[in-house]
Amino acid sequence: MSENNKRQPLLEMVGIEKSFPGVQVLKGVDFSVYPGEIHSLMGENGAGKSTLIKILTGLYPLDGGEIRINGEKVEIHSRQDAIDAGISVIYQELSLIPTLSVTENIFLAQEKVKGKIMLDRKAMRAKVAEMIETSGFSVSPDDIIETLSVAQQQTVEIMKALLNDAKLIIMDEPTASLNAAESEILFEKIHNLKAQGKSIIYISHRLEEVYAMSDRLTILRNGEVVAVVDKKDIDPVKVVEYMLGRELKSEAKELHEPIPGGAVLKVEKLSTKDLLDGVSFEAYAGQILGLGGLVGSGRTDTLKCIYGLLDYDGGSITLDGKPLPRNSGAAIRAGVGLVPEDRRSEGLVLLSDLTDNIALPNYDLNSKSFVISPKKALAKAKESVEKLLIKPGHTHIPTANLSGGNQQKVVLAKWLQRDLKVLLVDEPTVGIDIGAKAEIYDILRNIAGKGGIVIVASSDTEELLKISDRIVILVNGKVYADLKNENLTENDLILAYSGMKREGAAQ
Amino acid sequence: MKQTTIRKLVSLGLLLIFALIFGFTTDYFFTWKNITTLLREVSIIGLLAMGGAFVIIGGGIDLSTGAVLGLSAMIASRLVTDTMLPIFVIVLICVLAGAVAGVINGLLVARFGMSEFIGTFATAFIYRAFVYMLAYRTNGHITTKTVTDAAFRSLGGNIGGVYYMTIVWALLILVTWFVLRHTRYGTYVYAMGSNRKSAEFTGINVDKMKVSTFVISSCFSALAGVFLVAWQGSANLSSGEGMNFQAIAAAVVGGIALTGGRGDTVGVAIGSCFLVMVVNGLYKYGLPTHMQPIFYGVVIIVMAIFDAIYIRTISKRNIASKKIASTKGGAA
Repeated sequence: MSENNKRQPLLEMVGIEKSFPGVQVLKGVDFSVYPGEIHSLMGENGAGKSTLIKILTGLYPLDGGEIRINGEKVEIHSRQDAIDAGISVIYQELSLIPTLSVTENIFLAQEKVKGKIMLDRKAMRAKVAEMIETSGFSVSPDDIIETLSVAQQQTVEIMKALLNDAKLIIMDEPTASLNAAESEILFEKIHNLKAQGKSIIYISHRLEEVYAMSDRLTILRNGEVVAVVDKKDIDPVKVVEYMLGRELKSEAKELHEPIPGGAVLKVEKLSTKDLLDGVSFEAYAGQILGLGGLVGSGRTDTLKCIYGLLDYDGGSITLDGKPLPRNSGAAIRAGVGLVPEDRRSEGLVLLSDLTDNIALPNYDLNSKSFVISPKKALAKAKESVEKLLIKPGHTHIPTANLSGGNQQKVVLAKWLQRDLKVLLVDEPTVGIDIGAKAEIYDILRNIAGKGGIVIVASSDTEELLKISDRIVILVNGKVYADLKNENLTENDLILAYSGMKREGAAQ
Repeated sequence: MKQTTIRKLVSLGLLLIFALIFGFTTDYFFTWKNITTLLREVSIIGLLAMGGAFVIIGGGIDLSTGAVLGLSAMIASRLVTDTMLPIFVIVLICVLAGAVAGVINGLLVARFGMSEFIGTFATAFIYRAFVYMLAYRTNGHITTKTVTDAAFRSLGGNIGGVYYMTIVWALLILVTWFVLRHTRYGTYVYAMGSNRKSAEFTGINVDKMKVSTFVISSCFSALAGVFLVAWQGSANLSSGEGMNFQAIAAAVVGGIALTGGRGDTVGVAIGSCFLVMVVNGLYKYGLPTHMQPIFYGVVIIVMAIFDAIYIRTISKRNIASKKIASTKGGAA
C-alpha cells in the first residue's frame, strides 16, 4: 500500500451511489485501481459488484459520486464513453459473432477502410497478426469464431479490448466455462497484460484463483465497501467472513437418518463428455441430500443424468441395485421425478392451466385407454390445490399467471401424483418469496419423511444448510466433499466450492 | 476450409454432375441456344434469390418477393402501354415501387417487432392485391394486354445470344459479392444474422440494417418483374406467384443458411443455376411441371441436413479439443 500511495491511481470511483426503485444498491462506494494492478472485486450475489461495473461501463447512470481516470473527472454515459476512457469489459457470455473471422470480429464496427468503401482486409489482418504475435495467443486471424474453443474465443475478446487501447480490462467470471488447463493459460495471459502495464478488474466466484492472482481485493457487502485487502494480507477465511458479514456459527438442527431398509440411489463414477468426471455418491430414503458447487461444477448435469435427460459415457446409476433407464420417460415410470432449474421454460407449459400441467406427466395413471379423463385430472388438481395450498385456488388459471412460489408448487404437484422413489430438485426456490420458500421446504421434507429420496441442487448456501441432511460438494465435475450437515457453516461451503477447507471444519 | 467454401464447392459439384448427366443423356443440352435460354430463366429466379439472400443472411426471411415481382411487372406493363414515359424512367419507377414495398416490410419487422415470416407473409397478400387493382379491365373483366412497345421489349433481347437480363444478373452477382465481402455494410449484415444481440451491442444500428436488407430484396424483385414483362410481353395476375419459394430454395442450395449469417451471392448464383437446370432437365425426362415442387422440397431437406451435420461436427470438435486440453494440460 505504501508504494501505491505514491502513485496516481488509474481509476478512482469516489462515493458512488445508485438506487433502483425501492432499494439503494450502492451506498457511497469508493474503489480504485492502480496501473498494472490486478484488482478483484468480491461479494455475494446482490452485493453490488455488477451494478458498480455497469456504472463504470456506461450501462447505468450514477446517482451520486464521481469517476476519475488518472485523477481527472470523466463522465461515462455510454459504452462508447467507456471505450474512449480506456475501459473494456470481457463478459461472461461472449459477445462475438460466430460466423465471422477473428479479424472481422476484432474490428467489428471499427473497420479499416481504404478509398472510402472498400475494407482494408490486409491492414486489419496484419494488425491482428501482430497482436497475436506479441501476446502469444494460439489463434489465427482467419479462424472462424465458431470453430474455436471457448478459451480461444476469450483471447479474441481480449484482443478486441486491446485494439481499443484499453488501459483497464474488466473480466467478469472469465473462467466460468473453462477447464483447469484453459484457466491456467488465461491466467498467464492476464499476467502478460499486467506486464504490459494494463490494469485488470477481476470478478470470480472461484476464491483460489482470486487469492492467487490479485494484487488487491475490494470486498462489497450490501452496497458498501467492507474491506480493501492487500495481497500480503489476504486471509481466505477472513475474506469469506467479510463477504458474508456473519460470524462463523452453525445452527443446530434436527438431522434425519436414512430409513432402515429404505431405497438407496447409488451414483458411481459418473462421467459425461463435457463436464462430469467420475462423480460418486449415495442418497438414501428419508434424507434430503444437498448438492452444492459453483456454476459449472456439474450440479445440474448430475441431476439430468439421473433423470435420463443427459447421456453419460461412464459410470452407473442404480436404484436399489437396479440400473436406472437412460431415458426420462422410462425414468419417470421407474419412480424418478425432476423439478428443473428454470420452471418457466422447463417445468411448466405456461399457457396451459394448472389442471393440464399436473396431468401432463401422469396420463398413464389418468386413463388406460386412448381417451383421457378430464374429470380425473380435475379431481387430482383440486386435491393438489388443497394439499399444497396453491393460490389462487382456481384449477383453470393459466400457470403463467401464478406467482413463482405457486408455480413451483404446481411443478411439485405433478410429481406428488406418482409413487415417487427419487425426487430431484434443481434450485427449488429461485425467485420465490420467504413464506412460499418455507412451504416448499416442508413439502420436500414430507416427501423424504414418507420414504422418498430427495436430492436438492442449489447455488444458495443458506438453503443447502437449512434443508439438507447431507451435502455433497462438486468442484469441476468431481466430488470434492461428502459431508454430514453438522456444524457446517456457509463459510465452509464457500471455501469448499473453491477447493479449500477451513481448519477444524466437520468432515 | 471455411464452411462457406465447402458449401459452395458442394453446390458447384452437384451442378456439374447434373449438367454432365443431362448433357450426355439428352440431345441439345450443351448447345449455345439451350444454355442461354436456361440462363435467361435463371436470371429471373437469380435476381429474386440474390436480393432475398441479403434478408436471409441478415437473419430474416422475405416471403413477399414473388408478389413484389408481380406488382412491378404490372406497373411496368401499364406504364409502357398507357404513358409515353422514357423506358429508363419506367424502370426507375418500378424499382422505386419495389423500394417502397421493401421499406414497408422492413418497418413492420424492425419498428413494429413483427416476425419476418408473418410480416412478409401478410404484405405478400397486400402487394398481390395491388396487382389485381392495377390489372386491365375490359367490360369489368380482367384481361391481359400484350406490351408491344419495341423499345421496351428490346430489354428482353440478347446480344450474341446472351440475354441482357443475364448480363445484368451477372454484373449484380459481382456487385453484391463485393458489397457483402468487402464493405462494412456487408460485414454488418453477416454480424446481424449471426448474432443480432452482439451486433447491436457493438454499436451497429440493427433496425436500419434490417430495413435496408428488405429494400435490397424488393428492389431486385422489382427489377426481375421488369425483365419478365420485357421477355414475355405481358404481366398477369399470377406473375411471380410461387417464385418466392423457388428463390428461397435456390438460396439454400447455394449455401445461404436459413438461420442467418452464412453464404454469399456467388453461391446463390450457383444454386439458382442448379435449380433451373435440374427442373428443366427433369422436364425433359418427363417429370410434369406440377411435380417440380417435389424437387424443391427434397433439395431443401438435403441441404438443411448438410448444414445440421456441419454444426454438429463443429460442436463435437470443440468438446474434443476441450478434453485434449485438459488431459495434456495446455495448448488450448
